[in-house]
Amino acid sequence: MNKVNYWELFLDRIKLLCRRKKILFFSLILPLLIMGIINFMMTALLSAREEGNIELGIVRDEKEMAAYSFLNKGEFHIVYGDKEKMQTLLLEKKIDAYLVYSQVPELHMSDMGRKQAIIKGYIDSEIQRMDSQNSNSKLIVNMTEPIALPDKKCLAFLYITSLLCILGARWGFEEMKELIPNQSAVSKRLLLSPVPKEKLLLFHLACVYILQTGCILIFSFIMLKTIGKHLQLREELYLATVAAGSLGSILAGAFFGTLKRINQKVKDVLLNGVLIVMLLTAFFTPAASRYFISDKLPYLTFLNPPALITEMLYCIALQNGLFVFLKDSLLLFVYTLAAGICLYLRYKWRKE
Amino acid sequence: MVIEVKNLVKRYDRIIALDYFNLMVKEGQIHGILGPAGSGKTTLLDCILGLKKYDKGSILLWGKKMDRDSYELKKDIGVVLEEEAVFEELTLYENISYFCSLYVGDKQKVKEFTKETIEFLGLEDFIKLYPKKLSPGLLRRLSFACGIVHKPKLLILDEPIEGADPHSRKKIMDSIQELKNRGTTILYISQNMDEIEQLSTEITMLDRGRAIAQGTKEELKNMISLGEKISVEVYSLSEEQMKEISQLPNVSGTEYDNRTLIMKAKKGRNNLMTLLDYLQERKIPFGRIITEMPTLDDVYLEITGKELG
Repeated sequence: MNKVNYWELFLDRIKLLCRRKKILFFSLILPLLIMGIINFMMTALLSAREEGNIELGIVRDEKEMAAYSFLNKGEFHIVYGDKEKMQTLLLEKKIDAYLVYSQVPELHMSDMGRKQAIIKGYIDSEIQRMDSQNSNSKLIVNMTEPIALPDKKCLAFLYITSLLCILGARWGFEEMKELIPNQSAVSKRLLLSPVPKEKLLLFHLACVYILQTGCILIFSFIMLKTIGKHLQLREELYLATVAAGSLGSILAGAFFGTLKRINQKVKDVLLNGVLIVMLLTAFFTPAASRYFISDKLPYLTFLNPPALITEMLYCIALQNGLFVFLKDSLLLFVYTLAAGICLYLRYKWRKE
Repeated sequence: MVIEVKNLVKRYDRIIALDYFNLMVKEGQIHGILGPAGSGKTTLLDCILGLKKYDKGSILLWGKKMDRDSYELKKDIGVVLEEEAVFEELTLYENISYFCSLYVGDKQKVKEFTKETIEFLGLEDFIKLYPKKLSPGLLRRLSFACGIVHKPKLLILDEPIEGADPHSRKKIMDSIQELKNRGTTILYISQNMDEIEQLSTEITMLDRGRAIAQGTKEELKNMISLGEKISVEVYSLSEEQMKEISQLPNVSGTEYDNRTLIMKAKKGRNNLMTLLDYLQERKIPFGRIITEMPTLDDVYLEITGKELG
């Protein structure tokens, strides 16, 4: 008998994975659906900005004459006056909100809608920038300006890339079903083959890794060809982030698959739940909280690897924030290494 | 000796799954392991294949210790499991070829072996079908094909025809016989007495993890006192006549139900003649007569006091 022909096995394995409907759903259809939702939300939000109809009142204090930079943006129609006048205008709904401009700025609103959210976003960013002038890099300012991102397509692109990386966890999880006895019938047959089980694990994970990263790169290639001009990505960093992100996700998902004492179906649902929570946290953390976590509790991000990947992609897209990028890369590396070691140990020393 | 299991003990907490179990399987033999559900068959299989650790004893395959990392030994072993262990996403051909590739490196050989196996099991018309589209019988044949495609020297079968239709059942049984003729050693694990009796050259009976009897089917049948079972169609029998029949020489038990008299006789000559003489003497009219030699079920029943189920 000759040595095992891994190339032939690899081709068959890729064919098999491409026919797996569940994985295709999670890797292609679901991200596209989410992309559509994000796109719709962004369009709705940004349409309000483009119309230039946000009525904002400013109560000036003579000692604080410095103006916020965002007030010069076209979408605002500014009304100046004293506090009483602004209150009346707000009650009559002639303005959307008014800002008392002082050391500690106050924003007054009669209700909370799209326009108010935009104003709030700008003020969040402005305050952070003013605070960061002394202690933080420019990067954090940019990263905590979700509303001010240059292009909605860019944001959607970053989200979907990040999502595709993170969904690698599902690929890894599905692979483990085939490699752990009692989880599928085929696992017994595979483990009884003369291929060492460590090699089998490596081979299966390598196949999904290559296929998953390939999928993301194809998606990215199409996106870069179509909206590339807007993105101005540092491509080598982008590729490195995708490669590291999907590897971490696959290993984490595979490790989750080795957990014992949890029913397979429960594990499946649990993984989906954890992924959804992590993704929502990574994508929709408000600017202020994101800033607070980056500044005060940087290692909290470690609990949510999707946030690391998303943040790294932000840095690349905005071409800013080397420190945060390096910090996140390091954390992601540690996380991936830990997931890999835990997976190997659990797989290798798994009791019958 | 291909398989040598000595004093194997396997416990699950307080439950003893295998209790000082011994097994010897010679080369070129079909060795049947017969036992009801829960008797320890699958645990034995898992221990032999290195999937489960055992508490005491030893397992040698071709004189070498078998454990989960014995990859050299695994090359020569083929396994057909009770459940269909195939990939849903691959066609019948691709499945057989994939499992062959795990054992055989040469691409041409993989093709050759796959084609041979497909022809051997009569699966030519279904090569492009996915497992979901196959009938249970064809699925069994596919699973069997995946286990034998790399031409193993030792084939371990765990209920290989469970759930198969008669045609597939026959095809698989014929294939097993053919593989034996080609020199493959086969360990056949089942709770179906007929399969084991039909195929096996040697049989081990398993009960609560212990080997309660071992030998050829003739040797096993000779172990028990039951000689034969005689069924006679009799239109009426009184209680007194039944009593007299049960007192005839060598009779170990009688039953009368639905106009049929069943007489179980111990080993001895002229049991049938003695019964017929009695019926003629008493002028009791009788019809069809059937005599049956003891089955493995009878052997199991006499040794353990319970049926194979």
